[in-house]
Parts: sequence; structure tokens; C-alpha cells
Amino acid sequence: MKSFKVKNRNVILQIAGNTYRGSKNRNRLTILAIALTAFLITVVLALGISYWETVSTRTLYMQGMDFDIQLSEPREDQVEKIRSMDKVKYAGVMVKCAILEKYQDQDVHNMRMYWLDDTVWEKQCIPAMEECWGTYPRAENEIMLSWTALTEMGITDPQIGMKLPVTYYTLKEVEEQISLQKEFVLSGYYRDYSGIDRAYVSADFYAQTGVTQTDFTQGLLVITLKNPLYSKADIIEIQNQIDINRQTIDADYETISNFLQVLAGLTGFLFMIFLSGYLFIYNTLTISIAKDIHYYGQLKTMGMTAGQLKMLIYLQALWNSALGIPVGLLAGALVAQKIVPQILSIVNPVLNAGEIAPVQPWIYLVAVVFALFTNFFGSRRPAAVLAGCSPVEALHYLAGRQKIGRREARKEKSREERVRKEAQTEDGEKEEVGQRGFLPRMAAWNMFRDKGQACIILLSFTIAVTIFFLANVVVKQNDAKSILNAVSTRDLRILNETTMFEQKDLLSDEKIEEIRGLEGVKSVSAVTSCEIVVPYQEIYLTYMDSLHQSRYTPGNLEKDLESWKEDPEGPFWAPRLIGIDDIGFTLLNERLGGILDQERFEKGEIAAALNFIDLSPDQGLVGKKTEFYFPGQQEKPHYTIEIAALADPQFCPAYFGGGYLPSLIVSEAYAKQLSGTAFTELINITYDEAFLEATEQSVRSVFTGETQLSFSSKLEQYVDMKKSEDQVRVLGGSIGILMALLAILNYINMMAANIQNRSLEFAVLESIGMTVRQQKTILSLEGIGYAVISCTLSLMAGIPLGYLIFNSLKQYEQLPYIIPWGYNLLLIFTIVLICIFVPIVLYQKMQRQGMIERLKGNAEM
Amino acid sequence: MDILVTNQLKKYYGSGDTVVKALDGVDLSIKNGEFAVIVGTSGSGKSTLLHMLGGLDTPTSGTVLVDGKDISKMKKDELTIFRRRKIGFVFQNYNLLPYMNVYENMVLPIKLDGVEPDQNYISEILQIIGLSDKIHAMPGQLSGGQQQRVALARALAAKPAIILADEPTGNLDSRTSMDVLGLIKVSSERFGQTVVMITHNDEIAQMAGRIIRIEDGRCQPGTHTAEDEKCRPNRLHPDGPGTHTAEDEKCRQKQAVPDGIRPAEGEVEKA
Repeated sequence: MKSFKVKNRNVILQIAGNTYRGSKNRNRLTILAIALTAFLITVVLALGISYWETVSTRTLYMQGMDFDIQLSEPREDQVEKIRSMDKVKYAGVMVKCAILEKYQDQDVHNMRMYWLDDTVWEKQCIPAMEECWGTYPRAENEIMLSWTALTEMGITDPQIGMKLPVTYYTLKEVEEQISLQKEFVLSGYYRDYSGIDRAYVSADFYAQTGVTQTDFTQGLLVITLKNPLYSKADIIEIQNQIDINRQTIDADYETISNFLQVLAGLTGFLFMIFLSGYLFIYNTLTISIAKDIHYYGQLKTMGMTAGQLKMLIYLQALWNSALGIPVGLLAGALVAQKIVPQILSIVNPVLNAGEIAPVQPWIYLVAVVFALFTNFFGSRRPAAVLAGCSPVEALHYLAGRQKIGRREARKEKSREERVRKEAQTEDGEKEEVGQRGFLPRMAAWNMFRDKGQACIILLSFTIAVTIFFLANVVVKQNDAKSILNAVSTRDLRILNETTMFEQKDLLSDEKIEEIRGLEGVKSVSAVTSCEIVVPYQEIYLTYMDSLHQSRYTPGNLEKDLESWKEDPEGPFWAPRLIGIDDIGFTLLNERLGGILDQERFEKGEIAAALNFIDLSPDQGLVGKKTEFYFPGQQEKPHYTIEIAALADPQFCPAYFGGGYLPSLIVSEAYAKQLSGTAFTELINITYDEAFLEATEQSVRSVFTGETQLSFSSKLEQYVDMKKSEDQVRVLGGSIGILMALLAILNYINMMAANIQNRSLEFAVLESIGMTVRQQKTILSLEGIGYAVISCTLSLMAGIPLGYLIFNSLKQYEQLPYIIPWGYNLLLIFTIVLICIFVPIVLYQKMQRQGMIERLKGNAEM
Repeated sequence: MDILVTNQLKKYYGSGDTVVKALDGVDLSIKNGEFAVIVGTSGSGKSTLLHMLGGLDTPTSGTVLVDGKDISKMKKDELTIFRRRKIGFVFQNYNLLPYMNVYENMVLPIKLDGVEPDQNYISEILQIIGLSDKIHAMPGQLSGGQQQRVALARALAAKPAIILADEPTGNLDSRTSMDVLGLIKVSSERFGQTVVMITHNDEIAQMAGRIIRIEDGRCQPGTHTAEDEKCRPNRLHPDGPGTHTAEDEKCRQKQAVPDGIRPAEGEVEKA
């Protein structure tokens, strides 16, 4: 039999058009869902990228330079070789050539002066600066300074071209350092978050100093790789090609694993956002199935084929997408490109609104593809249901109506028997069962009678609250105060810059007492220090051997040991005796894992030795006794103390270091007992609350006019970080709020459909005696149920997931995982309120018709 | 004593030229314990009248007195509570809650009142309607007749004073219709309940103590004579629904029953 192609395309289009026009309300909701999802994906991706860039930029600003690896003391041939490598993007040379001692008469505490080649300056330094004024020094007498350096020099209003008379000495290896005078001209200055005082000088000045890039610890080749995700093998490959001789390559070998962790964290985060958006669209489409299917069932009875019906559904899905997606994209573009940059620009005026987070075109593409995919995927269900059921079945289809199975029947029976038993008192009389027990039971049962719907509500809510939770974890993780509090336990450190030479008692006991008495000061912890002499002892041989294996070796082991024996007071060897108080002891012992016995430490029976570099934490020293004495007192009796631990140099409570032999950390009382009076090198001050500006001012005022003290303040660092902190807060907060909004809209959408679908049920319930108040109570109880379950689930998921994300995005080891309760409790409270009141408002809006109209209107369902 | 009274009850839909007068000044009174049926053509206002009597709908004007109380003046929730205690409503399309089983559907109005259902009475009703073994069944698992019996059982479970039934046998076959009707009669006699029922079935209408005829939203003059009234006791024949004695048959012949609702000759013969 010959088949003919029927020309029905126009008819289908016409019916689809009529159907579409006839379901305006439903279409509005679907378009809203699609638009909202497209909007959220655009905004969340744009904000997420902007957030990521902001955090990365801040990290870069804190590092002060953009590079991957460093090679110390590079030879010219090595520089050439590395620059020619395919893997290498940039390789620039920087050399520390002099130390700036004083500006006018003011001590500037050994500020390092560097010469940078053009590559380092242009490609690696400028990107890591928040702001830069002027130019890099070209003339021999020109100098560029960091903002921290200017502050240290007391210059608050720097002017390009201003004269800067300074005292400095070069780092050329000579027998004796000679201080030189010079008047520099300020060619530029810059601001970053590194907090490092640094001066940059011209090539001519560098040439004059006589320092070369191969001088020990002075020259560095700063390398940026094309692919920042490098492995240890890549570094070894570079190393093998350049013939390294006692030089070091500093690199982070964890970049790939770190990146994968970050990637996993972000992928998980994005997956949840996408899932949430998907549920929203799918949900909107699914809840309108029932009514659609009645209508399509009617069309089917009139002879429309399954294929034609599918075409009808997909055409409408296409029209919904065509309307919803552009609206979502436009709104997303408006928010991501205009509104958020404006807010960011307000919180950080340095940022130009036009430069912030330009939305990448691929973000729009992702949003379009995702919204289209979800819409068509969601439409497949009604299409599949229609294709699979007969016209009569379609007419009687009711979403969520369940056929009870045996298992459910058993459950029903036991539930009912339980209810009956509850109603019986011991003597068999019947007890009145109040509505208070009945309504919650009914609400609980209502919540899960349509398991699919309950799952979608709970899942979408749980995901959204979890994302909000995770967004807050990330925001909290990047909170400047949290970072500073974790990185540093003290609020202000005051360092006596005369410690090594003049030894002026600037931090006297009286001053310390005065500070202790100030309002807002919680504690003052002093660190004393003085030079000691450790005579040759065999217990140090392993340590010395290890030291000579490292690049920091003073020279030949045999010769050095001889030199030590002969002149133990020589400047290369003499370590320091560092005295710490109770607070210092607690901190040190915490870091050492509590291995020190406080009583013995106080008495001066034990000490902790300080590793010169990161050698293994024993070196045959732990448990041994060491002798020492004060310089010039070789003839007097030597002191002996047991070394109870070998601590990492990063645990050093003092600022200034000694010679190659390990310094000894002892109790302040013991140090005083030995030397009569102990010289206070620095004090660490903690406030009642971190970042107390008034307290900081009053502490500083104790030392007004004192130029030989330097201050390292958490508050000052915070002020620098505050701008980017606000950016992080705005971006992270926006993502969190958007996700919460999505969850709430999803819930409103779900509940609206739920109440609409239950219209007949409500009418029936009312007709048999359930009051409106009772119906509202049940709806509210259902809402509370959803809120409580989803919030509990989201916390159960959010806390461990937050921990994983926290660890994968961790940049500061000391930063502890803190659960951001504040915002989350606020959100949970808001959700509970919304869950209670939204159903009531919707019920009032949607059940306005009289009972009979509602009974009749839903009669077919 | 009149348990249901309407005074100039009106229900208009729309306005101006398009106004539809569903009820147009109905004055009616039904005595306590009476078994009345409302008959009338489609669109005559039967269902609207029943809804008004049950407080399911609000009148445009006029009053409805149930047991002496004007329900048209009651607040919504007050009326709902009054209805669940006084009135049992049986819908033509059952209106059972699809997510609740037979037992739960039956006891829901009682539990809504904060009272534990009388289990013995529930069991008795279930036995009478013949669904004792279907107590855990969901409505979707029952036939139309069984669902209608559950709907009736739900209306009876709270022992209301009045049962209003909107074509309770409209969707049922004749045998099931008689079963359901028999149940209504037995229950109403046993508990002294007043029954007002809409029907299109002549035979059922003839079994009632009183026939109320509605046309164009108005109550037509009564169709029963005093003799008829004597002939027609307010109950079914003791042998069961649809069973007539020869005396009953005589009475029936005398009745001036309109053509539209006259029973078919064959049916009487069969009986």
C-alpha cells in the first residue's frame, strides 16, 4: 500500500499556537522558571569568576610578585638556557644589591634594595601591584619604594621627584661594611598587600654596587611558566638542563594536586548550582503535567497521533525557551555587568566599575545550552507519558495518584492500629484524641504522600541551603580578619631595632607595665634575647654535618669545626639565648605538640633549640645537654641546659637571628637569672578584641617620638586588605543570596502547584468539616516539616562538604575551619518563616472561589 | 418540628441581561426525620438548593434555617464546624480523598472535631455497607458502587442529624442503587435522621416520604395528597428496597405521578 505524506504541519502549528495562548498562566510560570535559571547561571558564573579573580588577585598582591619558580644565584648561561625553554613564559633577574639603613636621621631597619630587569618589573611585579605611581628607576640616582617602605620612612604624602637623602651599604662581599650617603630621587612608588618594605633601584646604581647576580643569596631568576600547573618532573627536567651547582630551585610541587582540589571543589559547587536550576525548571514543567495531559488526552481522542502530540509539546517548550532565555540573559547581563561592578566599585573605589568582571561570552552560551537542555529534558516526561497511555487513561491521569501496594497497605494497617491503640486508655475507655495530635500527623503524612514531589522540594531546598552554607564557608575563609587572626595571634608587635647593636632599653619593664594598664589591652608578652657562646661540643656534630650538606653551608666542614673550636665567639657561630614568658611558652609548646615540661622549663632545666634551617627535627640534639656562656666570660663557669626539642625556625619567638649554631629558647625567668637583666627584643600585644583602633592608638602613643622601634600591626594589614575583603563579601554574599532566592522561589513554585493540585481535596475537606483554619494549619505544618528536614539535611551535608571545600581552597595553613553559623541560622530562620507563611498566602490567593465552584471545577480530576 | 427551613431563598449568577436565576425565591420546610427527595429537570436548581441547605454555597438573598439556626449568617469556619457536626453530605461523584483509605475517609470528619471515632459504630456501618473487608483499601481500588457506599458511610459516621445526598445513585447500576438507598433508609430510621436527596430515578423518588419538585429555580406545588401520605409510610418495605405489597401497589396506582417520573409498568410487574 502506498503511503502519502499528510500535510498537517500547519494544523499542528495552529493547534500548538492555540494551546500555547490558552495556557497563559502556566506558560508565564515556565518562562519565569527558564528565565530565572538562565539568569542565575549567568550571574552565578559571572560572579563566581569575578570572585575567583578577586581572591586570586588578592593572593597575588599578598605575594607581591607573580611567578612560579625561583632559581638562586643564576649564571648568565643558565638564564639564557631557561629563557629559551618551551615551558618558560618569562624569566627575569632580580638582584638584592644594597641595604638602606636610614632616611635622613630615621632608622629604616635594613630595607632591601633590589635591581629588577625589565621582565621581572613588567611581567612579574606590575601584575602583583594594587596601584603604582611613577616609573621604574632609570637614572642612577632614582629610586622606587613600596608603600610600606614609605610608611617606615615616615613619608605620608609621597611626591614623584622628591629628594630622599639616605644612608645605605652595598652587599658586595667585603671585609667590613661601609655605610654610604646618597640623595635619591623618588621616581615612583607602589602599593601591594605583601607588607614588605622594599626599594627598587636602577641598573646603573646596581652596576655601581659591584654585586652580581651569582653572589650568594643575592641574585634570583624569577620564572613564570606557560603552564602554571607543573609537576616535580618538570622542575627536575629544567634542573637537569642547567647544570645546577649548590643553587636552589624554589617551587611549589603541589600545584597540580592543589589545582585538582580546587577544581573538585568548584566542580562540586557548580554541579549543585546546576542541579538546583535543573530541578527548578523540571519541577515547573512536571507540575503542569496533569492538566496538560487531560487536554492532550482530549486531542488524542480526536485522532491526534503520539508523534503529533510530542511535536505539540516540544513546540511549546521551544517558544517558552525563546521567551525565557533572552529575558534571563538580559537580566543576568544587567546584574553581572552593571549592578555588581557598581557595588564593587563603591566598596573598593580603586576598582573602576568598567574593568570589573567582564562577563565572558561562554557564560551566556553555557546558560543558553543548560536552560534549553533542561527545558527539553523536562518536556520529555509529559511527552513520554502521553505516548505511553491510551486516550482514556490520559483523560483520567492524575499526577501523584498512587496505587497502593502490599507494603504500603501493611504500613497503613499498622498506622491505623497504632492510632486506635493510642486512643485506648488502660481501662479500655476511649480517650479524646485532640486535633493537636491529628493535624500534625496528617501534615506529616501529606508531606510524603507524593514522594516525588517531596523529594524535589527537599532536594532543591537542601541543595540551595547547602550552597548558601558553602558560599559562606568560602566567604568566611577569605575573611581578612579570620585570615589575620589565624596567621597571627598577636595584634601588635613592637620590635626594638637596636637589639643587635646599640641595645637601647626601649621596651623597659615600666613601659610594658604601662601598656598592660591600658584599656583594651588583654596581654603583653615580652621576648628577651642576648648573644651567647656555645663552645665546641660533639653533640652538635650531626647538626653541623647536616648544615654543611645544605646550600647554607658556611664552607668546609672540617675547617669550620676547627674554626669553631678555636674561636667559638666568632660571628658565624654565636647563637642567641631567647627568653619567653608564660604566653610565649604556651604558644611554643602548642606548636611543638606539648612536649615541653613547663615546670622544668621555668626552672631552666630544659630549653628548646632552634633549627637554623628546616633540618629534620632531632639532629642528635634532643635529650642532650649543651654548654654555653655569655660573650667575654669564657673563664667563668659555663651553664648547662638540656635540649628538650629542636624547633622549626618558623616557631622562633624572636625576630633577630644568631649564628649557625641553634639558638636556645628558655624561660624569661631563667634568662634573667643568668644575665641579671634581660634585654627585651620585642613585645607582642593582644587586645581584648582584635582590631581595636583606639587601643592601638593608645599603645602607640606610649612610644610617641621613638624612631628605633618598629610596629607590625594586624590592624594596619587589615586596613590594606579591607577593600578586597569587601569585594569578596559582596561577590560571595551575592552568590549565597541568589542561591537562597532560588530555593525560596522553587519552594513557592512547588507549593503553588501543590495547592493548585489539591484544590479539589481542600474543597472536599471543607465540605466534610475541615475548617479553613485547620487547612492552613496543616499547610504550615507541612512547610515547617520541609524546612526542618531540608535544613537538617543541608547542615548534615554542608558541614562535611564545607570542610572538604575549605581544605581544597585553603591558602593559609593556620586558618581553622569555622562553621558560619550566623548567616546560616539567619537563612534557616528565614526559610522556616517562608515555609510557614508562603503556603498560607498561596492558599488564600488560590482558594478564593466558593467551595462548589472548586468541587465542580476539579470534578474531572 | 421543622429541621430545615428556607425563606425566599435566591441564588443568582451573573448580572443584568445575563443573570441566571438558579434559585428564585424558594420557600421550603422539612420536618425532623422526614425522607424527602428533590426532583426536577437538569438545570432546574436541585443541586443549588441542596448546596444551600448544606451551607456549601451562599445564597444571594433569603435565609436557610437548620435546626433553627440561620446558617447564611454564619462565618465560614463556624459554618464548617456546624456542618461537620449536623450534616452529612453525599456527593454524586463521591468526592473521596484519593490518598486516604476507606477507614480514614470515614473517620476524618470525626477526627477533625477532635473526637475519637466510635469504633463499634464504624464497624457496624462498614458491615451494613458490606465493606468490612475493604477497610484498608484505597478509593482507587474500589468500584463506583463501593466508593459511593464509602461516601455514604462517611456521611453517616459522625451521626449527623441531616443527610443531604446529591444523586447518590446517579453513577450506580440499579442493584447497587437499591443497596445504597436501603442503607440511607435504614440509617435514617434507626438514628432518626432527616434525609434530603436529589434523584432522577422515579422508583427511588416514589420511595420517599415527600417529593419536592423544582422547576426554573422555584418549588412547584406538592405532589402528594393526604391519602398518598397515608399510603406511603416514611420507610421502605420491610422486605427490602424495591419490594411492594399489593396494597402498596394500589396506593401507587392512585398517585398522581407526573408522566416523567411514572415507573415503568414492567418494573412494577416484576416487583
